[in-house]
Amino acid sequence: MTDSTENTSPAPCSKDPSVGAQITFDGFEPPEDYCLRNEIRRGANLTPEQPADPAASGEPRAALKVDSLNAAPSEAERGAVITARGTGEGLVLRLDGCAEPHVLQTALIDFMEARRTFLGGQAICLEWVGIKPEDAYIEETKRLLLERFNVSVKVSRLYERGKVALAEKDQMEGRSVSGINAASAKRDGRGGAAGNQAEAETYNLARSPSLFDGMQVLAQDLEAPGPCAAKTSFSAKDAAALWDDADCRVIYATLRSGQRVESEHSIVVFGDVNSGAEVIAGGDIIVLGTLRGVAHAGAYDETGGGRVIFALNFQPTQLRIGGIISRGAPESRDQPEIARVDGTLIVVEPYQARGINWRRGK
Amino acid sequence: MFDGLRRVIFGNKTSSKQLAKSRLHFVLVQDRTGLSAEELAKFKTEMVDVIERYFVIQKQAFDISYRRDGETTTLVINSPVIVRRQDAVHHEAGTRKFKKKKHELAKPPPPPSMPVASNT
Amino acid sequence: MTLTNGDSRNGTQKNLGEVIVVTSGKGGVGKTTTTACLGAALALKGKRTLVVDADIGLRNLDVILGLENRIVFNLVDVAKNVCKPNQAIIRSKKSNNLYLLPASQTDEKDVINEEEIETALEHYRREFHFILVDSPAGIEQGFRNACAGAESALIVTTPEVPAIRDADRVIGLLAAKGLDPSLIINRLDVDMVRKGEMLSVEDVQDILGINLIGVVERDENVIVATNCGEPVVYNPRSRAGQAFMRIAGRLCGEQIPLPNYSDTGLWSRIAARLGVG
Repeated sequence: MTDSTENTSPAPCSKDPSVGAQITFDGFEPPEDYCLRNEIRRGANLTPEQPADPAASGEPRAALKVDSLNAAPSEAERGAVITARGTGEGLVLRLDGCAEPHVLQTALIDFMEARRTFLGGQAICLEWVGIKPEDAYIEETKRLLLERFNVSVKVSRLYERGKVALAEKDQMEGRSVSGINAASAKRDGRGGAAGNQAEAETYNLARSPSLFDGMQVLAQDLEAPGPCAAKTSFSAKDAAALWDDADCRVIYATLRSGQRVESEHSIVVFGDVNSGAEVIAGGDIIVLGTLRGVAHAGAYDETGGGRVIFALNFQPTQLRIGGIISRGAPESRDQPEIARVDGTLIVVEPYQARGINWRRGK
Repeated sequence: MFDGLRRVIFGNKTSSKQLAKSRLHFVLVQDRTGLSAEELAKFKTEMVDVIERYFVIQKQAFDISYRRDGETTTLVINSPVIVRRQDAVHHEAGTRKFKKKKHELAKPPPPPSMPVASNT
Repeated sequence: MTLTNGDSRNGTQKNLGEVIVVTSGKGGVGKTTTTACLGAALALKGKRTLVVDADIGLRNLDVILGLENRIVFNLVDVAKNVCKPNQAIIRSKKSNNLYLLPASQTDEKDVINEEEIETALEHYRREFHFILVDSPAGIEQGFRNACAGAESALIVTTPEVPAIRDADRVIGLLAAKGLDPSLIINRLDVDMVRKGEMLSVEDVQDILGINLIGVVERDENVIVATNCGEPVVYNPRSRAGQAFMRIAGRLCGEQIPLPNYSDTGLWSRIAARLGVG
């Protein structure tokens, strides 16, 4: 506090990660040669209570220290720029579009080296988070992958913000960082069409939901689980049991008779589903309104995959979960209800958030 | 029952049913023949004129209707004839003039130049 | 199972069911109700009957029969070979002889064409005595689809000017297709006919000039029956239900005379005699 300078150098922070981090960035002005992502939002308070992660101990908070930006990228920092996901279309590499080229390159090379045998000869997808870099840069990256690792790139695209938010939220709120591997990502019989889940590995990831505009992520944040982590720590197995594909289609409209919505993921309807309309989902169906039409959850799985149908007002014409079909009940209770499979029947019961201890047929 | 009684005592104004019938008749002839109202009226007057050259007819009872039998359609013209004209009335340009004399009646009259019914 | 069709109009015994299209031209005259009730009536007479909803995109036959929540597959699925033919037909709630092949609600009328419908109906002809096809209103592709594969036609009309005009047009179109139509007059109000406020049965017959197969009186029980999802023939006190039973009998070849609907009260006859009627 005795520092009377009004200049804009960032407040120095302790090297000791165990010090609780209330990081404020007031008055921080990035120098001109940094790209946009380096501009930390002013006044942003990151979540307090960030328990120490041993991997990050001793590491400086890279973004705060101006001079460290040009240093060799740290382990944690490198990790920030690459995320891998396995999806129905194969392996998707999510790259930080705003990362410094040398940071990205080093991270990419490290990443690929570790998986050379596994990924050699594969075709992968590239997603650029934040800003899609210039074509020349993308071409260079593709060439690097092809020549050095024999990995071809089938698709290169910009990663959509919404998906990022959901995915990150997942990861912030409970997944432990390094431990999740393929086993947890494989869902039993989940979604025939979407079911080709390759190994989903997160390599030091996660952006906090408030920083997803391609901003530089602090090394510390990467390993810091969110507030939920304070209450429970999920092992990989538990996390797998509780969390689902991040993909969910949301419809902001009432579905009229004759309209039909189909998705291999879950579907949320902000509106009614009128009689004569159809909702067909590979995942769950959640209707935030009255369900009067036909709802088919777990449509790509004969057993239904433990999927459910929820509605605030339950008056369906027909319910289908997996391969089981049931006619709607004539009377509806004036409360939210949820339908699930019980043996060979579909059971509709009042929805209670707390009383649910069934889960995805595991 | 009382409707009938009422009609006996007070007479029958045109009921809506009668109106419906006549309108339907009008509309259906148009639909079936494809002719508009004016064209239809013109057709009728011209037909009456042509027939009147050869026959004396009851104009009020003159009727043209349009019948459908499967795929063929038939135009049926109903024209009650009172008597055949002995002397064909000569109209302006274009018609042949001939007079029938009694001794010529033995010969069959020349066929009319216009068929009465035509199949379309 | 050998099916014999005792219909006197055909005369020959056939092993195939008779496909009858129920159409009208104008909408709202009662085609769907007629199809459902005739189907139920024929089923009550012991004939295995299939009613087919050809109104793709706006299906209603399932609602009249109360089977709307049992639909899994539909006519379009059968035509496109998405399912087996016997997976798509739904047995009615009250009769073992009556089956429904519903339409799709999420497609449009040009999703299938005449050949596909004909092929689809072929699957069922050996299984049923009668196949009644409920046509959509209009004279476009939906109507043409419904007439595909049909051997005879029933034209439904009400005794009103627009309905008769449209029926006349449809009669012409059906005649061009070689289908011999018979007429059903629906929603006849006997009192209005007597008062001269509604066209009578004879008037309509005169105008349209085709064989009359039945007359159905206007009856509030029909609306009640639709609300409950049961065809009105199951209500023995309903005059419309009785009329449908008579028509079904005539379809089966029975000779059933038409009740007298004309305005021949005593005074009406006197009025006519005096020339004021």
